[in-house]
Amino acid sequence: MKYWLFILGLGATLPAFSKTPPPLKLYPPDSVIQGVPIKKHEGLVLLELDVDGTASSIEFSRVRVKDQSYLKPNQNLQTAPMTYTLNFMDKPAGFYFFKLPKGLYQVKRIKVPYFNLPFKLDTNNRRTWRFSVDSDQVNFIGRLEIEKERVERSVRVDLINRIATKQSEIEQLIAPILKEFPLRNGVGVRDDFFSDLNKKVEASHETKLQ
Amino acid sequence: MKRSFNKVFVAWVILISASVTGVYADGEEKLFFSKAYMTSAVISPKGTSIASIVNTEHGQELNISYEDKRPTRTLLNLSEFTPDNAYIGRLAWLDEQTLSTQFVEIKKGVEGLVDTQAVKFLLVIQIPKNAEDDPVIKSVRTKGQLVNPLGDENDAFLYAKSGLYSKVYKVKPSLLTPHKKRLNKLSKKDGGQFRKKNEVVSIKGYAVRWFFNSGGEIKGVLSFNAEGSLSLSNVGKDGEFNPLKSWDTSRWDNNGTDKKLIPIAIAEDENTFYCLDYNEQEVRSVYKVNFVKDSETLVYESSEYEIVNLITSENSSEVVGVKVMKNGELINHYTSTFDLGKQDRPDSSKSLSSKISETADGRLSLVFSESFNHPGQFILIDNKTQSKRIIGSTFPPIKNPLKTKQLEGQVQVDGLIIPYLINIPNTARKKKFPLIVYPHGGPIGPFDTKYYDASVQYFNAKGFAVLRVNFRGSGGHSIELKHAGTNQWGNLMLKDIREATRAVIKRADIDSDKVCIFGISYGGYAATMLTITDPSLFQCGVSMAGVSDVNLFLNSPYPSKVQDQWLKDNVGDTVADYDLIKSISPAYQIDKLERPLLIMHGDEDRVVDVEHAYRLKLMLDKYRKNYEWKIFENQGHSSDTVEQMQVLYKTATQFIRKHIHSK
Repeated sequence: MKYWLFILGLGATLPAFSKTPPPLKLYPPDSVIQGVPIKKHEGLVLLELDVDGTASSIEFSRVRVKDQSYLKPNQNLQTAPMTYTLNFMDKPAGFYFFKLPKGLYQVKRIKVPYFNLPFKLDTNNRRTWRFSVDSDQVNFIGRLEIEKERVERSVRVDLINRIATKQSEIEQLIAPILKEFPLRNGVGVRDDFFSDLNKKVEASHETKLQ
Repeated sequence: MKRSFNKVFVAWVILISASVTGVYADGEEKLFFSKAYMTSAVISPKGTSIASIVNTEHGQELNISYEDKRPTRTLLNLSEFTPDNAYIGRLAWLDEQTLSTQFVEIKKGVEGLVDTQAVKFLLVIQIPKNAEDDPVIKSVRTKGQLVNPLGDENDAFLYAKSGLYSKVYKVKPSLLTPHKKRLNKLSKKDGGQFRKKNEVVSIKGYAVRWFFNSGGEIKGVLSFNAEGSLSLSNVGKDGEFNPLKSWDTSRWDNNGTDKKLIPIAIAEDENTFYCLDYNEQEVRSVYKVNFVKDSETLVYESSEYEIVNLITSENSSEVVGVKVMKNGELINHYTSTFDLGKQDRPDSSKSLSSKISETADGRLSLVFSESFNHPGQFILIDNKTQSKRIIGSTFPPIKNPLKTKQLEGQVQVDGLIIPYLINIPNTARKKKFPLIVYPHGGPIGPFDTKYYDASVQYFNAKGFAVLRVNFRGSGGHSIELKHAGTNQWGNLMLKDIREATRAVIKRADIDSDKVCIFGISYGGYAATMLTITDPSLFQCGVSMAGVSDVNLFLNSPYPSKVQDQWLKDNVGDTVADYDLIKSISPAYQIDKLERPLLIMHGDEDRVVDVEHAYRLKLMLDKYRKNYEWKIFENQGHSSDTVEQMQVLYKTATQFIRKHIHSK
């Protein structure tokens, strides 16, 4: 009996030490509007996908920094051992949400099928493959494109910062939750644009406009 | 009396307004922005025929013109030849009646996961003596490339095949089989010619290029060995190989700081080669390198596009131009000289004349000629009598030189000489012209040349003078000018444009109250910034594919690691220099804008993402500024089609006309 309890206990605790948890669940905007439970210190991550339904996936890890949405000068990239995975198999183009604890993250690897040959792109250390999450916000981390057309055994994969391009579309799509979860730019490099855009026009300028 | 006076007055107004807008009416965009017609031509060894590639509304055609002025004949019409997307290039005469061309078919893969591949063949076309007979079109099915047409030898050419061992074979066109004809049990692929007895030379390793001197002898080979190192070797008379230079590719520095000079064509002797620097941010420079003396000289810079290959004359092996990649299409750019010292200097000619092909006896030459006011044409010259005959033009609608003027000037800015070009409509009635300042893109490396520029001539035709400034960072001039552009994106480069504009508006033929600025890419950035900072100078600004947020541009996902490092070194570091970068970004300065702005962008731009246009738009909305806006669907960084180009320039012209009088 003791032996079985030990086995059961071990089985229950092992996943906690595992460095690759199951893939994160992707939610379409409708489910999020209807309500998705959010834990304390978690944020909603919004990603626009255009991967043509291929069985691609990305792997990422949390960057070892506290309360930072980007790395400062001379700060080295250090990531935690746990790897998160997002699978995009059969996901049509569009917006998707997933939940993550507040922090800065580095996409380390992208897997793209090439017929029966796997194609892996190592993105570790590339700052354009970094994103940040703030709690209780909608963190738009950009548009992920995996081009369907493969020319001479190469494939184009990009994560594109499109906060201005998509702002209006996103705000229409998730209008009911924006008050509770305001939209923020979730890129993982310093980018003041969205916060500057949302700063109020100074009084002196208001006067000038009138 | 009053009515007749009114009629005269109306007629007079129409006459005056016609002179203001120039001699061309609206809708003339098609005259200036059309697909190039004749793109390449080559003369046969004895000079009886000239082969040319032309673009028609149905696609490419391979034509033959004759020395004796018989009517031009179409040998190959691609749209009839294949249902696939295909193109032809690199013409070479194998003998007086046999022509070869590189044929590429784009094959789409399976649905859902498109695996697009280019399938290449060397087509060998035997031209019948009787003009009524059809040509016989054969192909070489063995993978490889033509390396020497042996034009003065009948029924023979040299063809290279690369693999673990790379070999050059002498092949007879007469033994090849017609293109795509099924082989029966008795017929062998390519007539069974790729065998030992036809071998001319063989090297262990994968040969990338074979080099020939003007006499047709093999003088060098560039090849990879099994360990992955790349070697350049001389080839002796008995086929022996003498190593000249070796590169350990595993140690190649990819940080963009050291040159990676790889030979592309042989120069005056077997130790000297024309090389491209594959560590350049965009391959735009040609160097002449002597690998024995270990010396290098910059001999050519492409004004705008990335160089893919050099064009050599098939008869003499001389380098006559460069092949550049323009909007995904290979374009020939001929040059009058591969000597940067003589290229694009203020004292050099405004026209370009390049001998691109010659008969074996030197009796006839085929010359490509172009000038600032006339697009290129291919001219056959009899070297004895100096008589000339036009074989074809790149833009046939423009038959005669346009009646415009081009002037060169310079201005000193912070101790540096900044050259510029002014193009003026030559309408006799008008004394003062409104000015469009037209900074080029890049900005480091590209430059404005003195040769034909369709957009400049279009603006001239619309009644505008055009100023093009080769501001610091521009190539084609001195190394000092180019290097002075480092980290000057939002500073001295803009000052150079501003100072050149101030100098030019003092001219008697320029209306200093009517100045607008229009640019594409970096030019769009410069146009936006200068419209913000200099409202007293510029009445409006037009930005196409312009950078609005320099930090966003530097953090773009599109550059390679080498390009990313280059941008960090030459534009700025997004971490260490963030505040400076933000201060030179139009998106964060837009509250100061006083003049109207037109923003245009392609939604598939992979150089300057369309996000730049949207950022500017949101800021313009926030500060309630006067602007117009146009997004081109399915368009990349530059206009992919002539229709897109026509719309772009028409929209820009209409906007400028509307606002240039509003001071």
